Amino acid sequence: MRRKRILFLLTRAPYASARAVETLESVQVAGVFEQEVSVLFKGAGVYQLLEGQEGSAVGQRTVGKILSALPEYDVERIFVCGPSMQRFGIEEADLCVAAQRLDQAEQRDLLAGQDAVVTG
Amino acid sequence: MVISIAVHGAPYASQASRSALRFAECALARGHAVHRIFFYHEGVLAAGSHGVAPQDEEDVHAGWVSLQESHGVELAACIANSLKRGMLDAGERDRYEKPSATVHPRFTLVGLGQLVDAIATSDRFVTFAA
Amino acid sequence: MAALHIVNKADALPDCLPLLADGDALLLIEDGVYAACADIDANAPCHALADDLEARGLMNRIVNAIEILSYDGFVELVERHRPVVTWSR
Repeated sequence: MRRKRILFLLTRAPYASARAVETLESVQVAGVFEQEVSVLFKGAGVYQLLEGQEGSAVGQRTVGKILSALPEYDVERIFVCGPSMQRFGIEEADLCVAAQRLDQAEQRDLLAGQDAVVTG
Repeated sequence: MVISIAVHGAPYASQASRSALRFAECALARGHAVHRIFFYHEGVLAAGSHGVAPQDEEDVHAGWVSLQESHGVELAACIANSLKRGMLDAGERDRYEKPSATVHPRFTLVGLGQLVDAIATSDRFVTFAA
Repeated sequence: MAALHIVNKADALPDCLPLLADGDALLLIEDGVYAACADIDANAPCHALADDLEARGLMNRIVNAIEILSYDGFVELVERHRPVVTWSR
């Protein structure tokens, strides 16, 4: 399979719908198929990174645990929108995985280098 | 140019399916190859064969079937997302011993590898979100 | 190559606008076309899909310098841009 630069743009909070978990499943598969995968959490999507989640409380898988396992799928480029963190009062110490914080200009550069973007 | 399309929204809850269908028809008319339509999340409900569209509204499901029959465009629904939403083809109906198949035979249930393959083999990938 | 940003909910526009880069284009579709009724501070050419404007009765309410496109124009934008980024809520 041809190798492409694919950005997963995750903008939704977890648990109210299956969207976050279902999208992360495709992130895993893209990693397995050796694509050049990046993941950007933006807007309410930054809540997917919050530590201390327990999905079983609402009968679902825990999104934070899926994120922690992404390196096993060779997905290492995990980014978070700095202005979104600020808007929701989330600090780096609140995150369950190490995500590189990007300002708007850095996010523009990230987008510009992509072959395809998958919206989550 | 080779184009693949993702549909994330369910018919009647979202315009995604209808917008994607119009886009695909127009891309074909402009001479492009539409490689695969990937139905994801609630988008898989477009594959349902049991819906009866109101007479005074466009039948988007029928539009997809027609697109497949006339142009051979692959209609691929995520199998994991389909099963949990009650979208089963004959094989899955037998495997899970359910009373009936609900997916139209022009749609195929596929794994997420086919989403990645669609992106990898296409010049453009366009998502129609919910 | 520059990106095409598709916005299908007007609420998603604020996420998208700061990420518009030189040469990018913006396309409003579905509920994104409501954004055409107020000023958009975008450093990129703005387009809106005719069918979605017409359905919502917005054809005469556009205040921005927006190019109204058919699906043919939509496909043409996709031909000229990569990646295609969809912004939703």
